[in-house]
This record gives sequence, structure tokens and C-alpha cells, in this order.
Amino acid sequence: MAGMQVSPTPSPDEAAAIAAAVRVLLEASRHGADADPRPAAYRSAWREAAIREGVGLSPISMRSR
Amino acid sequence: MNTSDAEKYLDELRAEAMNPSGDAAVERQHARGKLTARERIDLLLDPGSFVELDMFTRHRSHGFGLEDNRPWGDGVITGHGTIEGRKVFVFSQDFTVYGGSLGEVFAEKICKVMDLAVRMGCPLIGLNDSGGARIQEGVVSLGGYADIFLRNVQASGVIPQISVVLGPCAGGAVYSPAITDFIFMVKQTSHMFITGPDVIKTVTGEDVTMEDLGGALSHATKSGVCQFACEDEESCLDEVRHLMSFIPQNNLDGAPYEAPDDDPDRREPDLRTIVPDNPNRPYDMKHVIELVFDDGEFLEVAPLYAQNLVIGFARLNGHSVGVIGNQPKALAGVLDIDASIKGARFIRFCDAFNIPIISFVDVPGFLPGTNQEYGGIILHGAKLLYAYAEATVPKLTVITRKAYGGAYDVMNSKHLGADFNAAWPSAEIAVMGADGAVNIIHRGTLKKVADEGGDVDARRAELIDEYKERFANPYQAAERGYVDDVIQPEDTRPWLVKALEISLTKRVDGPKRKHGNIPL
Repeated sequence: MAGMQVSPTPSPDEAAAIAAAVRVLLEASRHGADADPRPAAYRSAWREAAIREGVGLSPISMRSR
Repeated sequence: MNTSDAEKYLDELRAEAMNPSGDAAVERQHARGKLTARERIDLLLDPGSFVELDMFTRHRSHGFGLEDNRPWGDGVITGHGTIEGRKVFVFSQDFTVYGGSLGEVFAEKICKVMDLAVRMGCPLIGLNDSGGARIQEGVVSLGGYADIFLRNVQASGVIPQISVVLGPCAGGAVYSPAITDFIFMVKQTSHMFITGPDVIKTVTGEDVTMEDLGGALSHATKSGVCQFACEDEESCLDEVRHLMSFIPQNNLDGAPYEAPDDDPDRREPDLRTIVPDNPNRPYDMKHVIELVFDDGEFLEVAPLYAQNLVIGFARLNGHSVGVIGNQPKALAGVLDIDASIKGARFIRFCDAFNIPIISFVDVPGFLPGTNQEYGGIILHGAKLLYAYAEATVPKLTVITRKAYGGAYDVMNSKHLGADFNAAWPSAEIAVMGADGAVNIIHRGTLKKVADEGGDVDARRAELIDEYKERFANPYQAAERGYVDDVIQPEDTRPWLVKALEISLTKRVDGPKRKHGNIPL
């Protein structure tokens, strides 16, 4: 992938494999976000904090999950 | 045994475990009008999604000939699968094995899926069809029940728990379903009771049939134990799937969102004429609900019990919501003991599982009478108030007509923490109805008119008109911000959609405590 550097320097085959894996990961996460049909409020950190506080969990621990 | 033989042996064992009681027992089950435990799972879950656990468990008991009959699975099938692609855990009691009786291993299997359901944050659905404790196993059976009860309590408010009673469920066994969130039963074939007709006859002399005592309709109409009384097992299991579409996986999850087809700005002109001009004439609050929510879809919960309060699930612009409405068609929509309990439990379910609550109010007050007072309407009415006040999910209210007295306060008033409240122009938010108020406020005036030989009725009518103009409207409440707006009835849906969507990020951090002390 253009602009990506891997250290220590991998062999060409290893570099290609790593780049392919990262590409798949990025694609999946991009599609994952697009695929969520719910309104943005459902992904709101504020809402998530409210739900966690409702059951006595700290909203801070949510961020470090 | 070589590899090939071992694989063959596994196939044979699995085939035996799939039908541990033989075809004759299956035929007897069908002859009772009931499906087998496996057939039920197949109907409940998405095709091919069921993954069975503990197929090869067997009881370890001795005595009374038990050691000679150790069927695979020990009479309960457990595992997980999906409903509309969402993961659930399931147990299905097999009446063809020891009458579905619960022994040590049977209970262990149920406990195992309960623990897994909580650990994975998935709903648990129990299909009950059991003759009760396995008497031959003695106190171990009782211990097994209590192990299940403990898990029911610990899972309550964490994952949705649904009980489907598809046969007998008697004695202590009833307490597991009782703790769960919803109970489904089938007419004629499901029965729940603490003590059966024979014991009742012996102890109290009463004659009662199984169906009258503990049938689906008795529990759906009289006791309120069961929320869904279904015609047959197929429709029952289908209704469970329908209910699942409204509720989340667990208490950290949101309820399923369904992208809506219905226009969020849809104005509904039929709402304009739904409230009769005569305040004493009834109308159907369910009709209001169907006109407001997405595609008119409303899954009513406990439709046959305390019909003066309507509860159920609907969607508003795709968001799953819990709906509560006073029903003017039944007892003029008053709140009584049964309605208060019904409403309070529903509110607590919605609150536990992050489902917003929308209330439609037309309530003339609490039902008067010695039955109600001696029955504890004070405590039971307080449950409803407590549940509303305690709930931290988005809470919206529409007052369509009467909101009188303490019942106004109780029905998700602004004072109890409602987020957005609207009233229709027909709303009467007052301490009581005009007739009663005039009789109290103007008792002296009316007595004087009577003493002087005047026309009491004419004067009373004048005073009633005066009271109505001054108090029987929504504007006194609006002046004080007790309702956020007075809206045209046809604007109810767009108003609610906007109120709900701004409330989806609601955050309330109440005082920390172990738990409150709701007046149980």
C-alpha cells in the first residue's frame, strides 16, 4: 500500500501479505460503518455512557474497552 | 475401535439421542396436541441455526429403577441459535422423557445455558413442558429448581428472559417463568398452578378444572401471570419471534432499529376526530396508537388483562418503543390495582432494556371502592408512579383528554421526570372533572340557591361551564411548562418523532444506591 512502511523491513512477499491484510481490515471497517443503518445517535458516546451509567458501570472504562 | 467404527458409533449415539423415547412416545405427545421439544426449537429458531449442547449428558441417579433408564439428554434439549439472525440461548423440556421432570442433570443443563446467555449477553428462551420435580431424585431436584431461580433473578434486567409454557408447569416449577420477563401459553394445552385441582378440592372443597385453574385464558385474563395466550404452538412460537424483534440482546444494547417506510412527518387527520365531544364517551386508545406508530404495527402485551391500561411495543421512525395508554373503552380508563401492576412491570422492563417509553393519557383518576382500598391500591398505584419516576430511558407523554388528580401525576407527568409532554386541545388537566369540582367548590353556593328556591341545576351548569373554561383545558398546565406544547392531534406523530430522536442521547445519573425500595 502506498505510503505504508513496515519495520523491521519485511521480505517482498511478507510486505505484500501485510499490506493485503491491512487493506482487508480497512475495507471491512469502512463497510462496517456504512452498513450500520441506525441513526448516528445510536453510536453516540454520550448515549453509550448513559447506558453504562444506568447499570453502574463507569463511562471511562467504556473508552478503554 | 478404529476410527471408522468410532465415527459410526458417534452417529448411532447421536441418532439415539435425537429421539431418546422412541416413536411411540412422540406419537403420544402429538396425540396430546403438542409438538416435541425438537419440533418446537425448529419452529422458534431460524432454520439450521440451532447448535445443541450437552446432548450426551445422562442422569447419575440410582434407586427406583432409574439406573436402568438413562436416556441421552436427560429430558431437556439445550443450546443456542438465531432469531432473525440474532443469537439466543434456548432450553426445551422434553415431556417424552420422564414426563419432562427435572432432576439434577436436567437442572445443570438449564443452568449452563443460563450462565452462557448472561456471559454472552444473549436473550434466553425457555420452552417449558414438565411434570415437575423428578421425585425419585429427591431433594436434589428441589436444589436444581432453586439453582435455576437464582440465575433467573441474577439475569433479570441483564438479558431478556422469555418463558413459553407448552404443557404442565406446576408447583415450584412455576417460579422460574414467573421471574422471567414474559410468559407465553397455549390455550387448552398449557397449565400453570401452584397446587392442582385435586389438592384444591381436598383442602378447600372447590371444584375447578385444570383449564379454569391454570389455563392460558385464566392467566391471561384473571391473574395476569401470562401476557400472551395463543391458539396453538405454531402461532405461539411465531409470536415469540415477533416480540424478539422489539427487544435488545441485553441491557447494554439498543433495541433493534428497523429502517422505516412510514413517513416521520406523516400528519394523521383521523386523529382530529377521534376524541368525542362528549367527555364521557369512550374511544379506542389502540386506534390512536395504531394511527401514530410506524405502519400501524402494535404488539400488545397482556391484551386481556387490566384492559383499562394498554401496553405494548411499536416502532416510531424505526426506533423500538414501549407504549402505554389509558383505555377509555374499558372502565373509562381509570387506574386500578391490576392496571397499576401491569403498567409498572412493563415500564421496568422497558427501562431495564433501554426502550423509550411513550404514554398516551386519558385518565379520570383511580378506581374508587372498598375492594380497591382493601386490596392496596395505595401501594399498587405507587408502583406505577415509582416505575415511571425511576425510569431513565426517554419518556414522552401525550395527553389526549382527561388527566385528573393524582392519576395525572402518575401517568408520566413532567413532575416525575418525563422529557417531553404534549397535550391535545381536548386535554383537561385538572384536579378533577368539572362536575365533581363544582359540587365541592360551590357546595355553599348551590345550597344557598336551593334554600332560596332558585334553579340549582341551572346554576350548577353555569358553574360547570365556568370551571371548564378556567381549568378543564391544557393551557393552565402549558403556562407553567407542565406540558411543553399543545399540539393538533394530527401532528402527534411528527411531534413524537422529533421528541424521541432528540431524547435518544438522554443521560441521567441518579444517586448511587444498592437498589430502591419499590412498594412491592
